[in-house]
Amino acid sequence: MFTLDILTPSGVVVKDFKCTEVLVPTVQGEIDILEGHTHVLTKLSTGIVTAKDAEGKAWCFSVTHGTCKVLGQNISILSMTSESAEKIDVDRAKAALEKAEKKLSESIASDSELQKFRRKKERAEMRIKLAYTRGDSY
Amino acid sequence: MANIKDLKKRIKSTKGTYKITSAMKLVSAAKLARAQQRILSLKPYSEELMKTLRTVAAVTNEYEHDYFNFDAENKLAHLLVISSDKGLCGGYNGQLYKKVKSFIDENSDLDIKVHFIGKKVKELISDEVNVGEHYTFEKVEPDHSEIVDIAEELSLDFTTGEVGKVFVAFNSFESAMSCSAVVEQALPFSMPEEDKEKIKEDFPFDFKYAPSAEEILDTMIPEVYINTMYTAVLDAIASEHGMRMVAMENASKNCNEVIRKLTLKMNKLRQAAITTELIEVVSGAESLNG
Repeated sequence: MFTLDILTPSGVVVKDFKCTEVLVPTVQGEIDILEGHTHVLTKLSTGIVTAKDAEGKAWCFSVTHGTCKVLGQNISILSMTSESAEKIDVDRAKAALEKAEKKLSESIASDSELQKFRRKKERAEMRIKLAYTRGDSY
Repeated sequence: MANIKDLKKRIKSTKGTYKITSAMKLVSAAKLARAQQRILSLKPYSEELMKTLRTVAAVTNEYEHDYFNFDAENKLAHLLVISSDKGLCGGYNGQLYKKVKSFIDENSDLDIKVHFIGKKVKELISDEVNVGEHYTFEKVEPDHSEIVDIAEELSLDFTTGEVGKVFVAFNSFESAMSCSAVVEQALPFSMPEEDKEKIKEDFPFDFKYAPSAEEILDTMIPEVYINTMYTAVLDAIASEHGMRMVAMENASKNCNEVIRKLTLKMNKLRQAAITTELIEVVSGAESLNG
């Protein structure tokens, strides 16, 4: 049993969440963290963190870019934004996706703008996906 | 001399003002509580971010990032001033204006372009400085992503070498009763060097870095910079509500004082009128009695 913290600038999503297994999306692919995992510091990619609690129930959280640190009996995830699956507003996510897609189809002035909207699109897609998988075990 | 009718009118209007100021005080108190909550929810993130940054920084040598580049030759600078859109908040905008002005005077060798959040200080200073952007937000209070956009816009000029420094001026939140105007250098920043060796000793774990320590620092450093900006904005918001709460409390107290004085004056006048009337009646009766 170890603990999981997910921290964002807008607040603490979970703190000292007891779990037995955590799946974390990183830039080099998804990693599965079990008890006794080696100390790791890695870069997150936009995706879904799945944490399994003592009863085997899976809890899903969205994450965007940031870092994940595994140290001793604690995993701390620092992400720009994060939400638990239960709190996702599907309609808002769909609206955001539409907006981002529309922006991407128009001409975009700079590379940074392009990247920004790509990130927004990615995030909206991930949130919709997460909202539909909520409650499923893995 | 004021008559009783005038005084009654003044008391009534002061009571109206009192109602408004005490309502504004309550509103500010509620907003302050929310702003403080936002600061508190950011805190665990900032602390963990700095802790991780120090850990990684301790094990990497000769790391370079655009945000560390100090170019003494480049005299251009950005200054972001975070003031408020509304007044009635005591010395909040006044003290920030003074601080910004003295900062610009002290750094007269720099060519500073001043950007604004909130219009109050802009109105005061726009004739004296080189005015840049004025940022506004969708809602009254900005959210994190809006601050990220502003921070990135300013840092882009820094990384392309257009400016040599980025500063941020805001009222730093101390308590609900007080705040102080500060100017902080956001870019370039220096890695916390002081206890690098100590961390190395204290830190027995050999971390695995994926992809590499340098790449992780590449992600973390912009985040630390954005975090500085976001903290500044949250501090400014909390200070504004704190200052407005105090200002409105003082205003309410003053209203009470004015009402008390006017009532006293009115009672005295009324009493004087009664006394005069009595004297007239008594002396009239006396003269009849002969």
